[in-house]
Amino acid sequence: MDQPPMEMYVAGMIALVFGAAFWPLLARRRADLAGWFSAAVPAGMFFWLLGQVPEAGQGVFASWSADWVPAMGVGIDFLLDGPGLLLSLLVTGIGALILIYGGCYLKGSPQAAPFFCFIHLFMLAMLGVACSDHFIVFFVFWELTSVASYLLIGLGHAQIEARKAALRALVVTGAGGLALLAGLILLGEASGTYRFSELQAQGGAIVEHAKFLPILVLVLLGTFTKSAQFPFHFWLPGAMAAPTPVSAYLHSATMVKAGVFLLAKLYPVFGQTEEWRTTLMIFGSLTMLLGSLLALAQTDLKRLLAYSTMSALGTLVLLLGLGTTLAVEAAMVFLVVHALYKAALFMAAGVVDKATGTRDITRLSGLGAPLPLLAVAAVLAAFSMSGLPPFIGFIGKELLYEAQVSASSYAMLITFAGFAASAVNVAVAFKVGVAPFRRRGEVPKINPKARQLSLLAGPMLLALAGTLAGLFPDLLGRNLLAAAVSDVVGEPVEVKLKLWHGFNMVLALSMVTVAVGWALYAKRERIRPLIVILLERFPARANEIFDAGLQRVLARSEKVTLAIQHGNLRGYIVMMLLSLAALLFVAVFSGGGLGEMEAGPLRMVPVGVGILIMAAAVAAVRSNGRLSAMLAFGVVGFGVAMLYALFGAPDLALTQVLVEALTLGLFAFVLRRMPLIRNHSSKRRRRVDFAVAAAAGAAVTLAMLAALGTKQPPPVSDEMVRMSVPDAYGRNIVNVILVDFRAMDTLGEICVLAIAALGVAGLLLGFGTHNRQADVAVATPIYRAAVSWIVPLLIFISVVILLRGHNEPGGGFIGGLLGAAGLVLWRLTRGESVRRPTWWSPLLIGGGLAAAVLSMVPSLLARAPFMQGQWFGEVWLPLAGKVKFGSTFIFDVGVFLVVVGVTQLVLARVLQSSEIDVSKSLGRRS
Amino acid sequence: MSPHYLEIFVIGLALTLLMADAFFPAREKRVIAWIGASGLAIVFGLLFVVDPAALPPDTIAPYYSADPHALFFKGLALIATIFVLLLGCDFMPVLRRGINGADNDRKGGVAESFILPLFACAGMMWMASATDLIFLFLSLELVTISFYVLVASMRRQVGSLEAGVKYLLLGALSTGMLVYGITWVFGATGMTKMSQLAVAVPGMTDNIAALTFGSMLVLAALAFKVGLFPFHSWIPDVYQGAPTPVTAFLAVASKAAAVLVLARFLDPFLNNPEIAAKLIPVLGVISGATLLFGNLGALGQYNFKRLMAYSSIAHAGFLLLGILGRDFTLVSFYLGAYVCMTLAAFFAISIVRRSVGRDDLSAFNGLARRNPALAFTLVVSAASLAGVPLTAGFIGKFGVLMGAVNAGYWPLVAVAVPAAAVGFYYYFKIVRHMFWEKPDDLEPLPVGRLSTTALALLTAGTLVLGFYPRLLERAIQDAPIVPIPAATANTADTP
Amino acid sequence: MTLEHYLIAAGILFCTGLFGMIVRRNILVIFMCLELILASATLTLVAFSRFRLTSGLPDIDAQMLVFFVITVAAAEVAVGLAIIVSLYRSTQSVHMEDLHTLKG
Repeated sequence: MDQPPMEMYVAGMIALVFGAAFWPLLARRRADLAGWFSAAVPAGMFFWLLGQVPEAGQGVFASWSADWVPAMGVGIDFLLDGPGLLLSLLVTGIGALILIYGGCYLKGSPQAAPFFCFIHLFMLAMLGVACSDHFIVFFVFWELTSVASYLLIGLGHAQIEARKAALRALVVTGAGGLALLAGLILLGEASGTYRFSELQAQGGAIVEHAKFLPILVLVLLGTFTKSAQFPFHFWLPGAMAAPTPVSAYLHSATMVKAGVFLLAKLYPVFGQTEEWRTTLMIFGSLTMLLGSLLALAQTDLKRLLAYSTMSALGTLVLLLGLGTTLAVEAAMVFLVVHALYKAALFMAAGVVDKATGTRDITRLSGLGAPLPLLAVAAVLAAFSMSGLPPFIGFIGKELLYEAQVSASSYAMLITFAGFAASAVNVAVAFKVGVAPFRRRGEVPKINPKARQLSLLAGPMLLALAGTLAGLFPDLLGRNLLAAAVSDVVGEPVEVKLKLWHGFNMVLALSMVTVAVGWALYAKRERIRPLIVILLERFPARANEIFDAGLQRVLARSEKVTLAIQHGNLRGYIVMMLLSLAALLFVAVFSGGGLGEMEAGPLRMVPVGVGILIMAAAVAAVRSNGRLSAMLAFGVVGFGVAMLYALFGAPDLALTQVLVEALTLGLFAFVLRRMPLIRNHSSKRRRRVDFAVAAAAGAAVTLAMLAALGTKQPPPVSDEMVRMSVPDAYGRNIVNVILVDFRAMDTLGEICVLAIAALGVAGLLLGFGTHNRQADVAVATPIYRAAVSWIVPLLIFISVVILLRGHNEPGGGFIGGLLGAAGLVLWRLTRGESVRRPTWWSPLLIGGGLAAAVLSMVPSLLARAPFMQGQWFGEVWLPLAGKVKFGSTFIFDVGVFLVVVGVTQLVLARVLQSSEIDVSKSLGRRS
Repeated sequence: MSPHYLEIFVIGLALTLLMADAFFPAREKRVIAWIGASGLAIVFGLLFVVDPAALPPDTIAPYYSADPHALFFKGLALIATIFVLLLGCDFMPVLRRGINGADNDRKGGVAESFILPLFACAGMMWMASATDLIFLFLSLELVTISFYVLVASMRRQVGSLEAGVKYLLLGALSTGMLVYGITWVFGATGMTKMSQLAVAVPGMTDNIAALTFGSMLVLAALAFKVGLFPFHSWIPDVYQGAPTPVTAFLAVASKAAAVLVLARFLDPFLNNPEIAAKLIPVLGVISGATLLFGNLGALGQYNFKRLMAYSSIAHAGFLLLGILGRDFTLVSFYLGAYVCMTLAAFFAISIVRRSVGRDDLSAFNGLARRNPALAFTLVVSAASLAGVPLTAGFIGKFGVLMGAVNAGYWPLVAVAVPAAAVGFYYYFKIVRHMFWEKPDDLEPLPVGRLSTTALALLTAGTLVLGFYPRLLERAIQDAPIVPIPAATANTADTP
Repeated sequence: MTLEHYLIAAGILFCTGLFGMIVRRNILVIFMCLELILASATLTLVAFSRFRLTSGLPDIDAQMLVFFVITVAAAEVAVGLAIIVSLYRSTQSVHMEDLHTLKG
């Protein structure tokens, strides 16, 4: 069958987005005008949707689709099926009236602009919920309704209660929404489809799946939170803190129905399982009864309506749990009926509030005379709500009773519960819709603003609709409801609504209900105190429990956080090491024993060096003196360098020695100015430390022992060695690789050095003063004499090392370190302070880096691969041997310069900044 | 043009600025930021014209890759750095006070705050491309050392220095673990190139203990960089103490690069059934614990930067979940979204901080009235961080969850969903402060033109990615996370 | 001498470093202990490379890494000392437990 397009619908949704941005601007000045104008879009959509109804009755639905996240298989698939059409009609129809009503209601209030923004977003979200066929898109809109509801409830944020209520609503519905998401994803995985239409076509097949129960629980969590079912009902009355138009729209007619709507959508899938029916019946009835009971205790118009809404939602859930076609029919009819009368009554309550400034039913009376039109509307709606003929509410109630009486199990119990709720419903209807308008004394003065047409249009139209629908029920039943029911049940159903069913038990029940309800209403002054006393016997109210629970979670999380994030660096280190130990523990003990150790002969020299290193390390860790610690650490470093030399890695050994010397020097200068190293901890703490350290050490040791016995994998860097001599003209492999094959790494490395220098300079800039005394003390004549011949030698050697680096041990890095050392000594002999930063160190660093970067230019010009050596020529130099000049050499020079510059700069800054303490302490002493 | 010139250009740019500032110090240090940012923008443009096939095959290609992931992350690093530089402009007065003290009006030291990020950016771009453990180590250290300096750069404030010392010691410890881990991986395989590891490790049956030992050590080190529980402990303290632009830089760029490196490194090991049997449970526990701790920790925060720190931990949990799901395209998308929304949040705090002088949540009181546009951008950013539908954050979270579902990690999904729900609470706390609390003063809060542009771009990015996620997906494609050049694949097959 | 001897020696060095990090409280000393850990890592690397001779030469990749680790460690020391000195100037303490303004 050809599916009619729904571009109009999508266009309407887009128009709503623009409306959300545009109408607030107008609403700031003229909210009433904004209301009338903005109602055009939903009203237009409403009539377009009405046009779709006949086709929908034939089972032909409009649809539209577009790609969204194809990688995850998510497409925007809209399908306007029976229930969707029904919900869309409610959303747009009531929405248009609410916009007009709300514009007038909020005129001049600072809430008007945000109201228009959020309500448009909400309408958009609701329309999305109504027509989304894809689970994920559905969820997107579902969550959006929660967010919009949060923002709308929070409009009255001046009152603390409104904020709490908004938060409650957000947390409950938001968390429920995520449960729903999880449920839908599970459902999608289990059924193999993420589309409702395809899922419904599968029927109840999913029930056999192993994950059926978690799916059901999660989905029901989502729907129950949204539709305010016990025990998640508490957010709904709180939400009444929102302005009345919002309550009328979101919290009675549309949003809370979304949960029921989803249940109806899933009815073909789960509807016939025992778990579904039992759960829905139990929670539906509980909510229904609790809502009724709580409603009896209220005096506030809006709260009365809120609790009766809760009761109605319970009724809807209960009906969907009965599992019969009749019950589904009743549910669909009741959904519409409830929306019509409840929205009308809410709006009427809002007008009453506006007119008198109070919503307390005990203080309201006689409004019929000043507000005759409103009174008519309210009374009509109230009659519909109480299920009096000839209103649509009567038909709804008849169906309700029919379904409950014919329930397959516990029919008696359910019917009785339904009866009780309906009776209360009658009482509430009279309290809200009739009592305020009856004359009991003098006519009160009212705010004339409440007489405006914009305020009265909504309730009147809705009440009229309820009456018309009651008189001509086929208008509603034949196509629209038939389509909805057929879709939910999964087979074509003809819905025939009649006012008159003949004299039967259901009619009798209806009559008794009205009678009992009237009695409850008449004796309201007596009953209410009784209920209030009864409710006070409950240990706590749901929202108090929720608030307290939230507080406890917050307090607990703060405590846990502070325990872990205590701010103590040592604790962090310990935690990190213990976690590492745990990781390694897993690595060792989840399989495999200890590795095998290859025994071999020990040799004197390496063993000696090894023992030296270890002894020094232990001494370093234990020592309390500054000097001894320094020395011990130094011994470790030099010992490691010796081992490198023994391993045949002279380059590394040389580098290690030089770097070690430099860092030790830095450490020494810094340590000199700092307090003595001492352990301030108690013995007990030290024992704990030892235990922790032993645990961490043991885990590392065990993991390492397990890893021993590593078989020798074949070498892989063969190729580079083979290539290095012919390709890069070099025989010193380390250096050749540094500047040729690993030029990129080396560039990174000198960058590291440069930023270290930059950082040190920045961090210590301006710290410390220049103390000449210290320099003079160093530059004694003997020293000068001793150094005067070392310096040129050092500098000479460094240059030689740089030049021949390509073939022999050495290269830019080591050369640079040696050169820097020479430079320091030389400056000392000249009585110049090493502490004073020189202007040329940054130049050296920058120039060196620039040389390294620019050395790529020749290869760029030659269109050869990056940094591949470009050779200009070869020169024989004494001592250095054959030296080839080329781009690689420039790179090497760059490294040399950077190293010299960095060393100078860092030394100068660190020394200078540790100097100030001397002068300070000198000053203090004298 | 070969892609590896990109980093060279960035280094060259940094160098030029460094030299220029050393010898011709600009009176207005903003100029440095502007030149740096526009230079990076040019490099970002070059990103679209480079030709990965032009990489010199013998010298560069073995340890430098220009696969789509690498290019994407280079782009992220560049964007992040550009915005951080602009952020630094806004934050200049605070920065100057922090560096030179209240009474000291010397201009020294501020330039470093703009030049170091350039070096760090080059480091992160290298990290994105590094497919050799040695090169990886170097680029990682380039970034880390820059950050040591940047974190501590407000040297007149104890908070900044304390953060610096904490980051220094813990970071150096993680460096030690990294090196020791690489050592053992090398010892077990004789390889340092990831492309070789990717071919060799999955089939290895020898030396499993040594490989596991090494991979666990590297995992610990990278978990530190990404901010995974229990290696996260530096994050809240350092984020709070560091200057705001640096915090943003850490939270965005450093994390993104580290996530890519983590995914790259783990991939071969996860393909080896014997090692994966140990790694996957460990990763699962880490991810779950991170999600829990990050979200619970954020609940009680009142300092905005600290809140963002815990949020960043929580996001790290999601990212690890994505890595576990083995669909790196999703992770990349997540990070792209994360970059947009987090940067926007940090822009907002730096603007507010400058005016109010605090970075508590209460500093945002009544922002909706003082500057509605700024409040709106922060709402979008908070909503996206929380994962509200139709923002980029939602798609990211949802994709990661789907990945975990597809991989069958049900217990993790069971942790992740409530964790996401908790997020709603604390992100909306920011919104509550802006809209519902009364401000101390009602004066409008002006925002500079530069920041306005930046914020508009970031907010647009967050929304557009949420509405039309294919935009980013196209950039990433479905490339393997460890690219294996044909040549190395052959040679490594032969042992 | 076998590879294992060196590996164990390096392992002990690593554990000593860990031990020091946990037991000591002076930031500078802890910083030096970190250098021990790095030294142990490089020692392991060099040992691995020494025992994997390729055409009579040690494995180069490992030696490269060692070289970079040494330089990077030096850079780290320089920056670290600068930070520690700044901290000392503003708080007059290099004691770990005096750092506790950031927490929670």
